[in-house]
Amino acid sequence: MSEKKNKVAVAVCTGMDQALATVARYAGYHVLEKLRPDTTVLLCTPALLGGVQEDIDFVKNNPALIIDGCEERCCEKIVKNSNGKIQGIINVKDVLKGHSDLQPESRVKLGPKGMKLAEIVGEIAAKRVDEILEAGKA
Amino acid sequence: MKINSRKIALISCSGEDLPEGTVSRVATRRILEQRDDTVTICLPLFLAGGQGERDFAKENPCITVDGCQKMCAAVGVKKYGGVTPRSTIVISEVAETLKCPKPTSKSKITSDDEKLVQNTMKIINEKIRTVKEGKN
Repeated sequence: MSEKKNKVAVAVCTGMDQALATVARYAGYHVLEKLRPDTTVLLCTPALLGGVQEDIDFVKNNPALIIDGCEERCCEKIVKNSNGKIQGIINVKDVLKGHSDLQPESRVKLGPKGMKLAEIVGEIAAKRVDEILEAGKA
Repeated sequence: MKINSRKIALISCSGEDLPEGTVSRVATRRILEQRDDTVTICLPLFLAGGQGERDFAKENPCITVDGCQKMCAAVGVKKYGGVTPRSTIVISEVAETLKCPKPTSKSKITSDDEKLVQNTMKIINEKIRTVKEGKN
């Protein structure tokens, strides 16, 4: 990961247990690849905990936005324990409460509803990225 | 010693640095769907302190499927759970050995990536066999 200034580190749930983890991951891709490619970087949380210096430095020097998949809040805990500057937290489970008709099919295949949920989470995240960067200018 | 009743824990890369992470996850998920003698451990939950995940990893043989040489899954389970995997697979090495094209997308598995996924699944199945036969 090369040095990137004025970017938000987006840390997504990377679990394999639940479908909402897959939704979080696809939401992260949506933000990174489509919505905010110039102002976001996806954080590699295992590398962070594994001691990869590049990732450790990045999370210390840039604001972080968390997209967690469930109430375990693993991503939030990992980034916090790595002295990351968390500026925003989104939990897919909370977003699903407002869109209960968009249940993903499975952890392997989200299906059209799950992908739609991922897009919605991505849009919420993109707005949050803008707010974080705007606040950083103040 | 043969392993009969316990499940094999497959722990895949959960990182987002490289497309190889996606290949490791897809291959692992497909094996989980195909076999009833395997389970996955949620690596972030394990790393974040999930005691259930850590206890399971201690009590059942683990195979890690990492995306790259950083080997965060293998390193992580040892560092945070005191567990040494019975076997490790590194996707970037598999691709190099089998001369598969390097995957290019984190979010999609292309037809070229599919060959790497299939080859990885063969390797995972072989590793499961040797672990169950007590050779690892």
